Amino acid sequence: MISKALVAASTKPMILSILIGGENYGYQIIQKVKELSGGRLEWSDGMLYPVLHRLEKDGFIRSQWKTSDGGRLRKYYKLTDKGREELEKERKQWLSVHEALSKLWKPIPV
Amino acid sequence: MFDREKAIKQWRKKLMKNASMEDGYIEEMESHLRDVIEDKIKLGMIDEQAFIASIKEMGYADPIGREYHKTDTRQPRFMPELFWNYVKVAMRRIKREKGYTSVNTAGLAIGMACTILIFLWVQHQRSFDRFHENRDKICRVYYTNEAFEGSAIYLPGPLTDYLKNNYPEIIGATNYKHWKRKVAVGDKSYLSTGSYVDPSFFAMFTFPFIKGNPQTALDNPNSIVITEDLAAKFFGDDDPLGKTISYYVFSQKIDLEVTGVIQNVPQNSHLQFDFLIPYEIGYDWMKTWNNNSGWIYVMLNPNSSYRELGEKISGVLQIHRPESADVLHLQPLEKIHLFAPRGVGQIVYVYIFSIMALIVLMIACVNFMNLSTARSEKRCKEIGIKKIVGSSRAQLIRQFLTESIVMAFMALMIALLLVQVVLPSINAMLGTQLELNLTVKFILALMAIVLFTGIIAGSYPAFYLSAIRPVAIIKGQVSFRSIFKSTAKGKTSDSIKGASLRKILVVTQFTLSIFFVICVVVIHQQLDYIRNRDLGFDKDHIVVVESMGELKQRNQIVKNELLQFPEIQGVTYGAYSPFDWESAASTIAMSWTGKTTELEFGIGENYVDYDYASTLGLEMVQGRFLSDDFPTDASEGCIINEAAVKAMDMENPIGKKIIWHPGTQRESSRTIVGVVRDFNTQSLHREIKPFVLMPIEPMSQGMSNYLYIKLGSETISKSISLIGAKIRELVPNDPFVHYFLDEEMNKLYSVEQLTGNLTRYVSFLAIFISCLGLLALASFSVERRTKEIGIRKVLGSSVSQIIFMLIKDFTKWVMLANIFAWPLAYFVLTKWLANFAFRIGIQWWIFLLAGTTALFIAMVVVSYQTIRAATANPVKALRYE
Repeated sequence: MISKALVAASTKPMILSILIGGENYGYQIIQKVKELSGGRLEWSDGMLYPVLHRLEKDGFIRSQWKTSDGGRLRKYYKLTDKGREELEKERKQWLSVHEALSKLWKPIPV
Repeated sequence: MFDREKAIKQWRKKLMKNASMEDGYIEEMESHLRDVIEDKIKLGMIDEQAFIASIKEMGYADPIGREYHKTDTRQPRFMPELFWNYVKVAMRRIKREKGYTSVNTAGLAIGMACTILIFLWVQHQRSFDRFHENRDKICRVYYTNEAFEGSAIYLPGPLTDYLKNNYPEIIGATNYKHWKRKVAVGDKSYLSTGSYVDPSFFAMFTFPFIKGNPQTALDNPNSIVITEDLAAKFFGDDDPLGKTISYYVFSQKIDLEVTGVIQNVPQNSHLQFDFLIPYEIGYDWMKTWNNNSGWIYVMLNPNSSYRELGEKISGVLQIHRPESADVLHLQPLEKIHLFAPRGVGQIVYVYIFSIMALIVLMIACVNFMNLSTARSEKRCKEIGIKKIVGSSRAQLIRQFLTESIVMAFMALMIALLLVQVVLPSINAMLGTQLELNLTVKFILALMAIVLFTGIIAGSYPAFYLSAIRPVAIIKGQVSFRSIFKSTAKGKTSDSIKGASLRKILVVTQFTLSIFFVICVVVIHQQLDYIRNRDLGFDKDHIVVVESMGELKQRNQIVKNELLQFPEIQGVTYGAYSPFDWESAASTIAMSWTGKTTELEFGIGENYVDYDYASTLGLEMVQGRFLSDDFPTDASEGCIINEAAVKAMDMENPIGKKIIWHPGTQRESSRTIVGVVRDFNTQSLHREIKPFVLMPIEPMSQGMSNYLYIKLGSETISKSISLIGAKIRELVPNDPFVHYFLDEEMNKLYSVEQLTGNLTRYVSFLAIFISCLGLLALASFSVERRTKEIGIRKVLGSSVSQIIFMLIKDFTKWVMLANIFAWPLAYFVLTKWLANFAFRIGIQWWIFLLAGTTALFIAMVVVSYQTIRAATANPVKALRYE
């Protein structure tokens, strides 16, 4: 299980990274997260939507209602240019944290 | 049977109960829910199970709603639309309350204008000599002498080379000996200030060359470097380089070649000159150790400290003048203008003026704050409505601050305009060339003042009023006062706090105003005292002509010729100007009957004509003045003043001998033939110094630098033209330089005069601004108490009772202000008067006068509003209840 704080911190880069592969809707995003993390990253499904809403208000993603083949209305989200820039910033930050931690956690020679 | 659609509908309803959920949000989540349910059924779950598991995965409505709420109510830090709205509201209010706004802004604008002006002057004073690139390396040499209790900056010429050659810390040194001398090209001649300097002068000081080479300009002894002004006067548009200028040392003419033209010397330089010539061609005595010549500047190597070097060189003069008690010191260039070598110097005035500027600004700000806060209490309803409609407290705070900042900014604009308008007359008064230079730094400083005033003035309404509970205002006809009483938890309500804050501000304003009034009167009295004090000689209607060149040699002829005019009552001449203390000698090299070693002090020497006493109106206390009736006077007679008698400790001075340089080859002696009553040769800051007068003839005809001409009081301008014409006729080659003795003496007190004028303006401003504040405050307070006054009148109060009630408050605060102002003024003025050796005492009635004046003015200001309120028909005030 991953702690709440870390989950909260990682939602933004996670969503933006998923959306870089093309537009997508909420349910699929959640599925993808679960799939990628092997179920260790657990989101309450409902909490995804306020986050998407916020990202949209900040101008990182854009949404559009579309009717699916099954006749169901779905809101599709798409990455904006601003979102791409934001993702790049996030990526750098995460990588530097990662790099620092990896150095610290080098296997200790016996 | 489980109905999926019904269950989903119920789930939707539950979500909708949450106020933060919008339709679209629920729609999206429902679509999600349906996807999840379908997936679960595909995995083999039955309908109901799938639904329950799905809504569990979705999570609860409340936390989701909260997240949405957070995003939706997030406000941007800065909303430009709102900002413009604040400005708009501010402008509207300014328009609606014209009277209040104009009083408030005018007060602040005047205060700011005054502060800016003083600031410009202070900046000018502080900018002196800062334009030299080597400013932090150059020092001026000066000496102190404990016997004189003074210091002086005139030093022997050879000291310059001695210092440069013997102290590796010194990388450059120059003499600077300036005089006003005649310079001429063809028939054009001017009296200009020129100075003898060493060739390294330009390597030390930054006086940019327009033409010529600074490195070599003064190498040739026959060279002269002139300013562009002088160049323009002599040569117009022609190239001055290589041209010849005749330089006159009295009647001796020296031809010099122009080797450089420099930019005009900036006004903020303590070195002021029109031309520079090599020190080499100066008099021989300027190159001896026994005579003090000009000023000496040294440039230090960047790593050495002037304090250390100053200590090293302190005893250098004794090497060449064993009998001297002069101790050398160094003073950094940047301090020369503002700091006297000994004592305090001009910097005191910079401080005094800066403090005054701050006080005026403070009074203006206080006034502004006072009016703003008083006014803001009327705005409770506005605040209440705004809060109900949804303004946050932060928004209200921002609105109030914007308002007061906008007003402060308007005031600044008016202030700048005012400064532009009055600057020319200020410059004329001070003889300066101050300019309103809007540099970035200056604008930033002004903006800082605006923000500071605006924020302080706006903070009370912004922070206190925005905290009002809107319900309280809207619900009933609750007055401002009771709102705070009902909301305040402690015993002192905020309203009382606000009111007492205002009272403190009013008291502060009046304290400062009264303080200034007292200062004005005392400074005026002191200056008056100085001007009208019996100086021991008659300074009125005396024209002083500076003798140059030929005139010096022909003084006797000029004197006889001038005495032919009936308008001229007397003519005399002397070696030193009556103000010149630099010609003082020390009694170390003097002796007289009864002299002991303790009797070492500075003594002034002057060589004068026999009519000196009668022309200048000197009075004899004992004996007689020098006279040509006694032929021995010329070589053996002398006069001393009372101060000298006292200092020399003589019982019967007449007939006693004074011996100069006793026991040396230069020994000479004179007999005291008379004692003259003390006369002030110095500014009245100083005590009268001992003095010896000796006849100028025949040994020192060439030393008569000053011609004094006593005129009749009626025909002054006619006499001046007569004198001018006669002198031009007798010595056609010399410029005619003259001034009135009394005017020149007044210049000694120019700084005091300036202080006096400034305090007068400042006090006027202070009182004016304070009264503006009081006026507005009175009208506000009367307005607030309209109903109270109405009720009182209905119940039987008389008009006078009501007037008394209203005035009582203000009177109380003005009286209190007196109590603070009096000791403050007494303390400050006692300190100021201590600068004068001759001074007045501070009289008690001045305090009373200032207090009464302030009270009277306050009364007059308040009474208009008060009388109007008291005589108004109470029905009008109460009709709407």
